[in-house]
Amino acid sequence: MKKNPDISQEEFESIENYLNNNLSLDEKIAFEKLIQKAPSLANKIEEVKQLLLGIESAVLKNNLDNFHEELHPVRKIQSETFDASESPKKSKNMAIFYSIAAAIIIIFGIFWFMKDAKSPEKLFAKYFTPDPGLPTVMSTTSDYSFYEGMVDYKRKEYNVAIEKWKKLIPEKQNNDTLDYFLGVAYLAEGDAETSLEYLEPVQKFSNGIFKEDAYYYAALAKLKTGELEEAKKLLEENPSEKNTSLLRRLPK
Amino acid sequence: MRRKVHIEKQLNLVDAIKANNEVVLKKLYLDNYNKVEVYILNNNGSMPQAKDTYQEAFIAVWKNIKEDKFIPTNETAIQGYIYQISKNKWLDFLRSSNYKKTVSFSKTNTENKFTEITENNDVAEVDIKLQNTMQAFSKLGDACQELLKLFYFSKKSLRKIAEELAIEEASARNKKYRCIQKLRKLALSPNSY
Repeated sequence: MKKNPDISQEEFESIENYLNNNLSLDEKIAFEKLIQKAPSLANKIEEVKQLLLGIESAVLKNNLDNFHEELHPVRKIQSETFDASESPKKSKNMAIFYSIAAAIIIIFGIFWFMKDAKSPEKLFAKYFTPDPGLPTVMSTTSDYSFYEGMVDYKRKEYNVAIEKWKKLIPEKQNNDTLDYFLGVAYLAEGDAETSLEYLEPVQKFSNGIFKEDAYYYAALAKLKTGELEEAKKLLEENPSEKNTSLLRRLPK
Repeated sequence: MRRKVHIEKQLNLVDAIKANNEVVLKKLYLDNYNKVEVYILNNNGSMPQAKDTYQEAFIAVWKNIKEDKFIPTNETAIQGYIYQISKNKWLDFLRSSNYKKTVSFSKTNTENKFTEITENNDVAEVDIKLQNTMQAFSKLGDACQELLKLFYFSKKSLRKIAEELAIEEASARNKKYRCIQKLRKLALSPNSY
């Protein structure tokens, strides 16, 4: 290691001010004359420059590690979930894929949420996921047309499903299953008004298995049409884990 | 006109980067990581390697912007630059002696769109010095680290720092110099501590 001469405090501070452009024009000219007279000063300037860059880089590096933490928690959860299934190699790749996907979604989610968290439209987009649908095992059902629609519904071809199901309305008056899925399918298509035609009055689901979920999707449809208070009322009327959790996340 | 607005936006971004604006740096970091990670994972890299390579590239980009060696010409230039440098750094690693396995370079497109910081000897020497200083910094006591961070990274005035640390301004100034001396000593003899 080559020997480096001492730098006094005064000298160090002049160099620092020179590097950071904190000198007046006169001072700068005077300082540059000094550099020409004493070449060793140029070396000192270079050394200080590297030191200061090193400090900034080291702090930046620490900050980057902190930023990186924000990408990581998702990864760990995802890897654990996926390690349990399939062959180790494949599940690792899947875990990587899903963790990247999850990270992207979360980042977008954060920006999305920050952008306009209060608008009912946005709340709808945030919380709406279509009902997964009913199992479609053809051999055990006589209700062929309905389950044919369910296959389309599960393929996310909601329009096709709606067409098939609408044909069944005349013969299935007051069928809560049909109304419920037509409502959700319209909502998935983004048509909240028509969706509410099937989901309301919500009381008609009161005796069936779709009771809580019907309230949930009706509330989401209300959110989409901008009726926040209506949506909250529906969720309050029918508390369930899902409904109450949504209610809690809505603006007061 | 629209284009001009974009360039101005980018120049503001440059100012923010030079000022070490944490919000801007964080956004840049988070926005650009995934693309780099995908590239490195697809090219025989692991996730820790992706992180290290990306961070090295990120610091290199930050440094080049700071020193006006890279001046963006369009809106996505910085993003593109980060990706390109990460890629080049990863390719350098794959070609290096550290990485001896034979690999098929199917996707290794090495076009250099940007003025590249290729590892010639001068640059390598500067890099080593920088690494030494960075290591030395991490060996400093907490008080020195904090003081130097506030002054050199956060660009706060000595007066403000003195207020924050509840000390006299003159004392902050002297402490700063003593911390620099310690750092200098540590950086010059990296292996003796």
